[in-house]
Amino acid sequence: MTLVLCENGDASALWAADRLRQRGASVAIVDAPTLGAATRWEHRVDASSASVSVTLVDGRTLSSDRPAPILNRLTFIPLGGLRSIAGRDYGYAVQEMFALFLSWLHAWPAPVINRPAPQGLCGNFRHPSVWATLGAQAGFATRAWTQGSDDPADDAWLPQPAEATAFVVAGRVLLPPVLPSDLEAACRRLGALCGTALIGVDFARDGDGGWAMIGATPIPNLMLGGEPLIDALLEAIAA
Amino acid sequence: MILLCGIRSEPPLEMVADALAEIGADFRVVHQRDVADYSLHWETGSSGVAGELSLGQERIALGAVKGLYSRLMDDRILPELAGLADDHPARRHARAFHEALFRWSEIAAARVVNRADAQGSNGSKPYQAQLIASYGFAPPPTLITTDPEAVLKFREEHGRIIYKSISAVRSIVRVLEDADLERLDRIGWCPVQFQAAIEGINVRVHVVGEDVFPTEIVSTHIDYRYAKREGGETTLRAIALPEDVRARCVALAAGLGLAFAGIDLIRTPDDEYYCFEVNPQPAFSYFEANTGQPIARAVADHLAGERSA
Repeated sequence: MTLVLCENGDASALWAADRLRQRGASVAIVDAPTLGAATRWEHRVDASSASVSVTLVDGRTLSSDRPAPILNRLTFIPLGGLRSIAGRDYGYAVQEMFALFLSWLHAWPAPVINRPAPQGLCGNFRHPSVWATLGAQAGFATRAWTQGSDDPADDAWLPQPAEATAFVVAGRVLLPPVLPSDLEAACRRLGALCGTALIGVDFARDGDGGWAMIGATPIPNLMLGGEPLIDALLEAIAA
Repeated sequence: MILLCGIRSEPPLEMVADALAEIGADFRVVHQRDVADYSLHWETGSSGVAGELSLGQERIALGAVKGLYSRLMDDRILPELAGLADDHPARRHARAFHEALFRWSEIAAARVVNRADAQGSNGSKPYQAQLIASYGFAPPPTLITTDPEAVLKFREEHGRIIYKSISAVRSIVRVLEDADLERLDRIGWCPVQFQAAIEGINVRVHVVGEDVFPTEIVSTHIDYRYAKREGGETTLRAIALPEDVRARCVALAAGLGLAFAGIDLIRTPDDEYYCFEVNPQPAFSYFEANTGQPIARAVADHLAGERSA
């Protein structure tokens, strides 16, 4: 059994679940609203262990006593239920639930791709300037990131159109045919530097025709990886 | 060049500034209330990040900045911006400046105390507890649940238990008393964190690189931070730690990526040490003022590159 945790309507997650099933894997999808409506939580931490048991509204239980590998595509905690019950404590409740999700997904005693980070439930959602810096350290030509006190603060999060996407899955690099093979080593180094099991690395051609890394994400469009990505995921969740 | 970012009169920032002056270090205070006179621009490249910070008439090449101590408050509530609309140019400038300063501090090739990325673990106490355990400190037995029955069993198992927030949102630590049981079913709405109450003495350990400043805290209240407000008393005393505990504190701070950390321990009557939190932005001034420990000097030395971290 593999669990796919995802937002409602995450086409990439649904595609991956379908492809994994085609390969004979047993897959259960648990979407964010379902997790948000869980009827019982029990999460324990002590000196030697951590455990979790979540009872879903349909009676299913996610338990660290019977851990399944997880493909984790959760971008944030489910907010729907909290909105309706938390009232003026909504902000507090959001932080409390995020803290709980970060902890239980970290504690889950089976492969989780990706493990959560304090900066993102399915891995660290880094600022483009950080990806540019890590990319340069990894050996890529990168597109310069500029920022200043005259720039609108939120523009950084506008999507950058990519011409090609490579994947790094637990150290295995998947390059689309359009990208030169000499990018493989830098992709592997970036995967190690960022400490996230699964990333998509986006590229675009620069003026001279060479490929520049323009960003990366812990929640890429999996469909771009095709069957080789499913192979890599199967290998990673079996590890 | 060292930058101290925050409000000039805030005690920790002021004490580090004094310590830097004492050792003759070259530093500037990026005083948030003067943001209207500041500008900042930078760019990433193959060899790192380059740019320029202007503080009034003075221009500072970012490559010359070797240390940065950040105690930034939320710029949206600066008194200078009070009453200004969200799209007022002064407010937009302040937001953009602070965003650019924050983002640069995350990638700057400088000794940064502390980068936000490394501070993240403090946002979830049980998550941080798992990291703490991996450095050889026992966290108090912890239960987070929506189930009143599970809480009652946990209380039976551990006797006295406390409850507090799961996240970094500050909450007053309270003992779960019999009178609280009447409203225990309310936890069904949102999971609550309970912990075995560890009997012993609180010890706050400030770690700056390899330097360790332990303070024993004796209080009439389970949450010493609120003792005075509630009519109680707290006394602080500098102490020495057993060498293995000291070494674990240094390893824990380094492992979390924190050049400066405030580690909260409890020493039991059996001389066991439990760790319940690592504060990545310790407001150490209260401890230094009460014990005379040279914490600000250690931070200043670190920023100036005089110590390893």
